[in-house]
Amino acid sequence: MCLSVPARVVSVSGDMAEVSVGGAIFSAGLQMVENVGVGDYVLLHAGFAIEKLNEEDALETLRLLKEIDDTMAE
Amino acid sequence: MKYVDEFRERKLIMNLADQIRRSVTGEYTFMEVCGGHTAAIHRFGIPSLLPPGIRLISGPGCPVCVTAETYIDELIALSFISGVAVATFGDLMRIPGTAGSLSEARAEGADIRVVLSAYEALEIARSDHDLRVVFAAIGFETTAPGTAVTVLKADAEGRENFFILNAHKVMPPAMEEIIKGGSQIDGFICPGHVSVITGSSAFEFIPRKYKLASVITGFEPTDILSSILMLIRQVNNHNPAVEIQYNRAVTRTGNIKAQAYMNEAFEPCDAGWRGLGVIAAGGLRMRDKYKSFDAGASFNIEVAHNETETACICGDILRGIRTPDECILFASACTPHHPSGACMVSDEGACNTWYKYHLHE
Amino acid sequence: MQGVGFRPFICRLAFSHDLSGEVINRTDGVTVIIKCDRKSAELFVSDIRSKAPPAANIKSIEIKRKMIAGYSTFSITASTDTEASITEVSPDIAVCTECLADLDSDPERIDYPFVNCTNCGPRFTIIKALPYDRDNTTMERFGMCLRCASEYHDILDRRFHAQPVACNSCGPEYFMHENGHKRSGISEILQAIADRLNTGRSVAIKSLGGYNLMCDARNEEAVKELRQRKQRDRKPFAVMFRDISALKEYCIVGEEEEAAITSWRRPILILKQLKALAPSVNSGLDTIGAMLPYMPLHYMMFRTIDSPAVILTSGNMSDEPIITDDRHALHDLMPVAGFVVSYNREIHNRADDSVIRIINHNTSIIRRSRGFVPQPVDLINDVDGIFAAGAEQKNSFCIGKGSQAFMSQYIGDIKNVATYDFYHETYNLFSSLFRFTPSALVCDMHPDYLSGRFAESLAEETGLPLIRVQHHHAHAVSVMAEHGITEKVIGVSMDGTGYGTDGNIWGSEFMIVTPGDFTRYKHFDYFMMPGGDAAVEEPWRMAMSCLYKYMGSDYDFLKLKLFQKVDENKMSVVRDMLGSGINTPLTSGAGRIFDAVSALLLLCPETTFDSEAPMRLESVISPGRDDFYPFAIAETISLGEMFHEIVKELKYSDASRIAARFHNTIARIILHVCLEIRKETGLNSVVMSGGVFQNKYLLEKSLYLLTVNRFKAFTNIQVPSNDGGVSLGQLMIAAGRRVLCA
Repeated sequence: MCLSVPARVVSVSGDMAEVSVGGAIFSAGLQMVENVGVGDYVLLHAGFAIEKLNEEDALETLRLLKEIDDTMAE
Repeated sequence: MKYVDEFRERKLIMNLADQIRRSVTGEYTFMEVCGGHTAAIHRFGIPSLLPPGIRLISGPGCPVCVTAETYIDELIALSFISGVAVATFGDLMRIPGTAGSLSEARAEGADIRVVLSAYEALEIARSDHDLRVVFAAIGFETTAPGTAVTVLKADAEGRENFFILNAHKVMPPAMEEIIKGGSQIDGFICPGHVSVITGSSAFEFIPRKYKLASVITGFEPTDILSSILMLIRQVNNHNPAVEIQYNRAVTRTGNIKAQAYMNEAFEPCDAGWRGLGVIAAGGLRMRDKYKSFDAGASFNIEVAHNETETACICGDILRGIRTPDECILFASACTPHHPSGACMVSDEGACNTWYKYHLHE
Repeated sequence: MQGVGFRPFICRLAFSHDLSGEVINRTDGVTVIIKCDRKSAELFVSDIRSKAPPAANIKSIEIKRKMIAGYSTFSITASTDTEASITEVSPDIAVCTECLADLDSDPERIDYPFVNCTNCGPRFTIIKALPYDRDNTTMERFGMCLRCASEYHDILDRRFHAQPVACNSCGPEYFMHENGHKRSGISEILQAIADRLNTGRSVAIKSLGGYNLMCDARNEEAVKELRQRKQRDRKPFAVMFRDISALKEYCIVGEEEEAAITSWRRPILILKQLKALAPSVNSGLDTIGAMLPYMPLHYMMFRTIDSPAVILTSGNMSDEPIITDDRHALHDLMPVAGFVVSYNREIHNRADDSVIRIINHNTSIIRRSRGFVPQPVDLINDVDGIFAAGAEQKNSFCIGKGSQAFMSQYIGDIKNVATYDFYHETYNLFSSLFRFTPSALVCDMHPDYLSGRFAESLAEETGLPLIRVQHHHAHAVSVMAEHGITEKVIGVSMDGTGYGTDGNIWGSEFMIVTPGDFTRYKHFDYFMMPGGDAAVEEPWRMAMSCLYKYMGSDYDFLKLKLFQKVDENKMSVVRDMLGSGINTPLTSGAGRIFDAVSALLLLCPETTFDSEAPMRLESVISPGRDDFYPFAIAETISLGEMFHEIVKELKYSDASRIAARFHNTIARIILHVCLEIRKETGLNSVVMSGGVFQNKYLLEKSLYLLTVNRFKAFTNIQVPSNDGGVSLGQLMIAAGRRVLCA
């Protein structure tokens, strides 16, 4: 129940959206997030989008991890 | 970018494990307080990747586990009132109350329905005006805003057949209680999704007041290992802080909108956490403005409030003082089939995780 | 093949080998692209072979080297659906051990009686259309909950891409019906089942392919009662055992048998009995049709009931197809069992339990259905567009796609409306699932088969010509099809009945066969069947007919115990028939001879189910003998001397020795005729088919004799030897003729 999963927005209608988790479509309330459009990723929890997932930050994290990787290789 | 696969890359995982090994200079105990972390740690075999000397223990991270038995009794009592339907998350169905679970009640004819969200419960109320729908509102700060949004919608609609039986709780006071309780902890793997809502600032009391390390962590193996590395460095360098590892979802201030909803519908109150006792400001209660949606106020349900004698040590497990295998009921009288305590029922419970992954060691 | 968890398996394997690339489903198979060096490729391929999911039937692995770019991770590429492509659909797979463990430990699937994963669960029985996606199965009305959806999406999870994935919160559920009440709750249902079975009552349960009736196999009262209510008379009931060790207490299990019975197909296996269950289970036969649990509910049931063995018989009313519809079940089975367990996921495609026997270390399929269907038979030539209607008894039909033959599940005896409807529906299903448009039609020569009528109506509809094929020719060719034989061979087809080109009933056919044509070489003498079908139901009539032919019309029948028990009036009517030749169709069917001998030995003067007489005859054989009766082969094969000897021995010898000698005689005849043919033609390969060869003793003896005489002998392995396999032969014959005509 603490379960929150990344979900891709498939359609938006007012303050509700349809999102896809592995192809299965769920309903998500958008009341707690802003500027969410089709194709964006949100964190889905108990029928609501609790956050929009930030692509830049995710990439940054990966870059940091890869740095660790590169320093190891030296 | 799919947000899952990239964070599992094997090489990254092995490199992190290596870095951890090199950074360790003694013994460390870290507690996680989120059921999702409990499950992820054991599922990905994190303990096997760590060098000896690092101990990971589970705290009260499972909202289902810390819900009082009497809450289940109340829901069952409500469900048997004719014209009332109880709507609940699936995880609650098998939790034992003092005299049976919701699942058993349903088999006897009670109107109990599994829903994916509070909103779905509201939709049931919308579709049948003669039915009084009671939503079982459990969960931490991740879930409470959703309930709040729904209550506000119900209010705006003037809905008279929608109620919630409230058992929402908040994390930081419980964590503080555990620290004060004297468990030897060096740092916390902080909840990832609660902090999406509250922001990392909610946990700043941990380093500031108690000088313990803390890192807000994601749920993939790379997230967890990175966080452990960060925790170790905080401890080694004696500079406890609240670092955000899960920065693709969490900020310092959190989700303001969600907080606003939560504060609009709820206010803090003392709450009983199963196994931990009453925690000051550890729960949420409905504000007077929305009292008409509170099932506790609108229905007259009498349930016995007796503490049953039991050998179940869920309380100690939730506090991180003992581990599931130390409980005499574990895997004998208490199994996922016939659970004695809530820690065995929920898949975020420590005992259930232990049963699933470590029973045959 | 979709539904066996192969692509997720490749994904996880690639991940554990730390390789990037992709896996794509293509029409000609699965393509895996991995970016790596040669050694890694070899290790990867070797792991594919050793670790692939049990139901994945890997026919060949081809490795090609190419320069490629890109690929930072490993992924599954969605299959593009092209017009001509067809994907094989997996047969239903018995629940796996990991899922059974989940019943006890996965919190969302505790006691979840529909637990399954990519490696197991319902497949054919729930599919409505291709491609195999949840929406095209009867799971479509169950929306996945969030947890299931995230497992479905998670490569590392065993439920990655598992179409029927669900859990206690979002999946189907069981209900019980009793006294007009309907209740849910799996623990209550299990408790109620246990109460009934433990106290000698029955239950009707919806299994995977249809409804079953069950009761305690050790309780004679219960079994007898069930038999009476279901009007089964003496046909043996199948028995489901709690586990393999319980099974081994009651049955003798060889190595191949153990492998077959525990396989993911979970068929019923005919095994020799070791310890007796209730006598009414198999009414005096020495074999048990044994099986192991294959649905989660079965396992859960065995944990709560006392007995280690339950009768599992198909829920149907006499000769009608097994019931799959819930309302139909309540209507028909409630009066029989008084207690019905159903669930709310629809069975779209009916499938009886399959029945097999191990003969000569190989599988001999008696009934081909759940766990086998719709796996095709791979052929070496093109059979595209051919519809083969099959025969009448134990019918199945066949459609050709490319060089593969897709045989339907066991339909049954097409002798009533319900079965005909089932046949028609299944044809529609196969046509749509496999995108089949007929371009050639073929059926049995018999003028009255309903399967032939169906083929005729198709011919009218489509304007296509209809080829009619001789029954025993088709039997022989079915073996050739399985083994890829195209040259001329010796064909031995033995069964009880099949329409012959001379208008008589054939059944002991020695032929020279090619896929397109055949020549009848030799056969048993023709015998009269007094009363036609009545002679099948009352084998004493065949005994009388055989003796009438060989001993003369004034033979003193009443000397023999058999005829002392027969009604006087009936006997005199039959005598007149034999004398006048009226209402006495001629047959050379070997099966009828078995009937006659069985009756003479007092084993079965009247049959209550198909093949009862020969089965009883086989079950009394005392093994370890090689002696046989004399016989004469001229224009036809004469059994005169044999009957003379048998009748003499009836006075002093016991049934077990006579039965053994009789079977040995038939085997010897087979050898002898084949030697003759070989001398004349030089042909050295023999194909053997027909219902008579379901007889383990006979088939093994015949194969032995042929092999030591340096023949190459072949039998049916993938399709039944009985009339259930005829459609494959018909298909091949049509293909063979098509080539000639083209």
